[in-house]
Amino acid sequence: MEEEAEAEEQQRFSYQQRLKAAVHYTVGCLCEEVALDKEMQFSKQTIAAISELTFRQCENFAKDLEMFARHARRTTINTEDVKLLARRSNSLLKYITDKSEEIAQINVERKARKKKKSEDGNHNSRELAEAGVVESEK
Amino acid sequence: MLGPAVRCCDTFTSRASGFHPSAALLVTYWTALGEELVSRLLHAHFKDDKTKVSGDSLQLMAELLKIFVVEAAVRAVRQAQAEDAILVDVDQLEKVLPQLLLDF
Repeated sequence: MEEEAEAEEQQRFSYQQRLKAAVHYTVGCLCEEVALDKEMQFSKQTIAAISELTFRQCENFAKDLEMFARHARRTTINTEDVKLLARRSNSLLKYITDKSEEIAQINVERKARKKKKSEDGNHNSRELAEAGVVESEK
Repeated sequence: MLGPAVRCCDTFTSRASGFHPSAALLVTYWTALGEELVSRLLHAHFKDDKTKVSGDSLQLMAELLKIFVVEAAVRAVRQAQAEDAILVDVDQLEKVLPQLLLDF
């Protein structure tokens, strides 16, 4: 049905517009921080250009990441794939590698804390259930 | 920084209120380049439905994209400063674009 295809196309287009708008907003905020730091104003066209650029770069990144993972016979993209993306500039690669270790460290600590909490929770679960307290972690 | 960011949030979400609720979500989950947004951006361009992104790499991608934006902005500023311009315009951005794209 042509109408259905057209409606679907419209939906996809408006979803893309929303994504672009969200990127534009975020880019605007980041540029605002830079502007404050460097005491230099950005023209609106420049912000729009950077946000368009970022959106297009995202497309390249996404496709590359997918290809890298597939090349390694995986369906899940991992940090090795992301590091491959950053290979073109040595300083960028170093920054990303350092960041990935930092993130891994934070997540390991977070998991350890969660595990300890759930172990303690198992001891107290009966008490908690009686007290009707529900604990939620962000 | 939280003040103006929150104010921007209000105007943006009111504009987005005519849209699907997820547009508002995209804004409120903003941290650097928020993970929710990054995830949606990546998934929008995958060719295979089965492709997934690990949590760690999502955070790393958010960092990478943040750096991309900040690099573009900072290099454009440096160009504008070198030209003694009063603001950063598209002309300055165009000059730093080739090297930026080569570095990424």
